[in-house]
Amino acid sequence: MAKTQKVQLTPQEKAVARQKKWTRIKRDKWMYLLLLPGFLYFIIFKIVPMWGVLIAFKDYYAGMPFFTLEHWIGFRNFTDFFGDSSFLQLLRNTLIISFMNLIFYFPLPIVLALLLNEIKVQWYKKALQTLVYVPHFVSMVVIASISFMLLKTPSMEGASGGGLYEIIKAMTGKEVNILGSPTAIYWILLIQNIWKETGWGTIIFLAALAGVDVEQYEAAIVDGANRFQQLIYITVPAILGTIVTMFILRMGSVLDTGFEQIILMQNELNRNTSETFDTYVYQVGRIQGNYGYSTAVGLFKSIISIICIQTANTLAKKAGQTGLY
Amino acid sequence: MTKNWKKVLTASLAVAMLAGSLAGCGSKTASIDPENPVINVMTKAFNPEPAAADSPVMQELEKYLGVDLNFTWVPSSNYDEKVTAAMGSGEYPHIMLVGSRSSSVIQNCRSGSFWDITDIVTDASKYPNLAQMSEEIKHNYSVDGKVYGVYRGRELGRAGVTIRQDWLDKLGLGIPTTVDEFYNVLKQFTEGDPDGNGQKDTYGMIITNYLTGPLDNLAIWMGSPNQWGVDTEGKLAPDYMFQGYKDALDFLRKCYSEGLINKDMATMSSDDWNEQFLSGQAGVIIDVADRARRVAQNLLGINPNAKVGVFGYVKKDAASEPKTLPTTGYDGFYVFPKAAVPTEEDLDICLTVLDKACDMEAADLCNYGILDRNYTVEEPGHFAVKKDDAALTKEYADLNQFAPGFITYEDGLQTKYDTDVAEKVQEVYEENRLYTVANPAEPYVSDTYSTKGPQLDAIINEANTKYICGQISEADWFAQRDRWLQQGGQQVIDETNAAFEADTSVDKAAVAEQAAQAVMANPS
Repeated sequence: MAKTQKVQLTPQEKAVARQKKWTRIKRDKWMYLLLLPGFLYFIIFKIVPMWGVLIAFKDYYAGMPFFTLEHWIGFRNFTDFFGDSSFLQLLRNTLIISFMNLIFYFPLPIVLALLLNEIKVQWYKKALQTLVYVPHFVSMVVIASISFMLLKTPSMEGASGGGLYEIIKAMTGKEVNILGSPTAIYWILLIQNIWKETGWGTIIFLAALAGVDVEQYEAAIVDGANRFQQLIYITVPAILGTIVTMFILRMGSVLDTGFEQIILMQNELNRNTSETFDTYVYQVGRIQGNYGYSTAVGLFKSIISIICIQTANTLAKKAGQTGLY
Repeated sequence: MTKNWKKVLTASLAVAMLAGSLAGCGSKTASIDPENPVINVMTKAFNPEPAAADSPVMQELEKYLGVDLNFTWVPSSNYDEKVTAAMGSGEYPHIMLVGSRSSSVIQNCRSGSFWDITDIVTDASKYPNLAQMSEEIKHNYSVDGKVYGVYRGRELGRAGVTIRQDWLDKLGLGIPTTVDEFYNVLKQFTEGDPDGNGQKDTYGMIITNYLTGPLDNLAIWMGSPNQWGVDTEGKLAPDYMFQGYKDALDFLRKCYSEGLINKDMATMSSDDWNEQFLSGQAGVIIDVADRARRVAQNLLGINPNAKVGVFGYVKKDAASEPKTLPTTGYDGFYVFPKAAVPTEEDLDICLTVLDKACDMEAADLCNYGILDRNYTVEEPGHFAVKKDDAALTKEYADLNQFAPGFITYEDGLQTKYDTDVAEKVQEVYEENRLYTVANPAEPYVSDTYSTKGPQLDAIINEANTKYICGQISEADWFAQRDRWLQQGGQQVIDETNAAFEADTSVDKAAVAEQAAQAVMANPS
């Protein structure tokens, strides 16, 4: 990335350049006017609210006048949070859930998209594609209820539990309380996620696959490449850019686990291992109204996210891929 | 021409969007018009469709109160969240129900956002009903000794145990009176084939993920204080510092290991509490006495042979005094935000509305609707028979949530129930009230608890559940209790004691003498 050498301009030339710019703006004034609402949207709803992060440095309570010079407490919310013994636990749980998703869930839409792409019977491919989208539209509450029904342990000896519980019992001879297990919660969350989102996740990869030049395949067939070789040498490199972009975006949300799914599956027996930053912020901020503290936690999350995106982006560029920016 | 037209379109689109994004900013509060008062009320709703503004009952109520009521019904499940949001945005109704004294509520009280009505509501000439509010309950939800709201009164002796009376009869057992007898009932319900089908397909008691309810009741019966107790040095300490609480945990742990309570207690939702009682799998629920009435009503259609019994408490042993767990006596309180109610005249209008809503006529309207339209009266004893019609019930749905209802009228309407357990429920209430154990720390809010309370509670709740399910040992439970102390529990104790010391309205010596117990130290 060589920087273009800066050309020294005379004042006259500068004036001309400025004039030109103004003429261009004037010429396209309606375009700029059309841009205005979108521009304002970002200013009003994305930039201005950023002043709100100031409450992370205040002893804020709901209803406190926003523009006061009182109640500043510096970094106390942050030191409280990092000093809290639950911090490490939250970090650990969040990272486990997030990385399990990254390792086991992230590749699946790519694999599924590649599989779908190999289907040559068009009507079958279309039907299958539509079908795998369906779980995305099922509410998390419904998925949690289904999980409960399948994994339920019986209330007393002799009664029967959920379907999956009985299968596991018949296979291993052990009575496993999956819903109350501190480690099984991770697998439950992962499997729910895979079931719900894998199909939906294929959309972007299928779009990328549709853009691959057909002539390349024809040339490869002439050269004697088989289906698998075509996949490895043409298809995958063609969508590698998309995969890298998706990966970088994913890194940005590495601390986002969402709270709805976890809260639905949480109970006293697995709370220790399933409490994450998001469920914590929900509890402390929304329920208890401790906005300052939860904003501090959110701000911490955002900073980590920026670092992750930046790192992933740099690494991608180093590896010869086009980054996000 | 076309070009011009396009210009106009783009320009007007841009202007429209700009106007749209600016709208919604800024709103002014006007004081209430005394000629034509419109009062905005925010309160809890339990029904999916609460009474609508055009319902005849609502209009009758408005006529009686002399104001237009404009309700914001908030589902009870996320009520506190909504209160915090209202305080955050500063967009207040005139009368707002506050569910609990969260840190934001306390801050807003202290900063003067809500009217201090301590000395106003005592004026019996202006507010004859509000002046009857219980001093003790008002003290319980006060902030720094000042009263900021009108409470919604609730039955004090509400706790009670729902039990399968026909199972007891079949096994030749009476209603248990001591903890040992209670244990024996659970044991027999599990092993004595109470349903007489020759199979071991029943168990004793249903416990859900809402463990706190049954546990607190058991703990009180076994001699624990109510939430907070006084130790031998006259200092306040939370209930899990006392032996009775631990005894209750051990009792449940034993029951769990013997299969007398359900194995899936940690994961069963409290919404499903009745399910296995109704299906005849289990026979005991410790909760509120009126659960017995609802369960009996539901059982009528499922199993007409089943009989439901109810009792309020069991004693620790035959020689001990009976003890029961009271409710706080109130369920939230109505505050009057100065942002919506700027002057004393406005406050007077709001208070008058709530005062009138306590009248017998208003209370009957809120509870039963309009005579001959929504209900009929059956003599003797003013029994209201509600008409069984969803459209008619909807007309007054949740209005009883609006009424403060801290006054009960002897000659007011009473509900007629189909089951005979309903009368017993009333008796349980009355008997419970005689033996309630008061919580000496009820009025005090520790700052640490109001910010970290739920996280702290979670430590104890988790330890309790795991201990009962046999996942952790006794030493682990004590270790978790120590963790609670380190995480901020000690601060909560210190702050609560400081508030207790500072409270001049309480006779500390009398409290200590009544309830002093030794705290239970960590044995390891």
